[in-house]
Amino acid sequence: MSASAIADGLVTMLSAASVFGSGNVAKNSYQILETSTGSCAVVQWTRLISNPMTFGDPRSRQRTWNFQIRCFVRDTGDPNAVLNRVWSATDGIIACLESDDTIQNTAQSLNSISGTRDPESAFTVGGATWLPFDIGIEVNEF
Amino acid sequence: MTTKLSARNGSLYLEDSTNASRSFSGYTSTMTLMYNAEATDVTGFGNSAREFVIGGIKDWELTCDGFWSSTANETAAVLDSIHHTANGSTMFKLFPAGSIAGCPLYTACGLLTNHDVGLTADGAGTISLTVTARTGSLTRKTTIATDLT
Repeated sequence: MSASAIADGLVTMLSAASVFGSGNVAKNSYQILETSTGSCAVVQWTRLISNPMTFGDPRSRQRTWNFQIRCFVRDTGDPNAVLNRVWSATDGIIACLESDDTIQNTAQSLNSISGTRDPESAFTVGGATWLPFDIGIEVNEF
Repeated sequence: MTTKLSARNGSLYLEDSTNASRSFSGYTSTMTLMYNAEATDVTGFGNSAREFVIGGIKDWELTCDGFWSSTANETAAVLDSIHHTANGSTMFKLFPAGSIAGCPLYTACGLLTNHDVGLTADGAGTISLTVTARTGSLTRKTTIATDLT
């Protein structure tokens, strides 16, 4: 498979109604920040290692990909609701990723899942305030 | 000038229970061929240093680590056939510089004396094997066309 196929798989998984919902996850642009009314996410790859596994020419290789899922939770004016949605979005993303190790049959195994968030971080786009956080995953293809 | 070797072209074949040579190198990450000779100790009283004689018994051992595959003629299937059908008997061909006519070749008959299957939750399934000498010595020769069949 390929980076774009894995990214497509992630977009499909995270677009489930139980996570971000249809049209709220993208891999090609940040335009969803202009259109999303709740939470949304952008998928990018951040690191790649391709190591030989066997003898031969060409050799079998293992690719280890790191993908970043940058999540954005929109502040709709209720300070309690926005933080609650950060919690629920985090739980939804983790449950979703843990539910399919092959990422829609695009990879052998989704290994580690990690996350980082700065509780004081927020920014404004298109007149709306967004609270960002990152979920990182490591994926193996071999 | 020495000729250094990129080991990535190394090639290994093992005979399965039908005496057909099966390629392992496409599923293999390490290969080691160990050649040993006993040094018979004849040190006696009066010797101030240890003394050994020539002519000690020689043997060899081949070890290999690779990846598990149950597809016909691939690692797990071949090892199982050697283990269960051929009573552990096999012949190997190790080509350090690739399986091409004119390149060096080590070959001998041996016994599959160890065969491990390794599984980890976050990695590929692996195999490792040990083939030890059965009868006859290890042969080193130059590869000809019939060695490649």
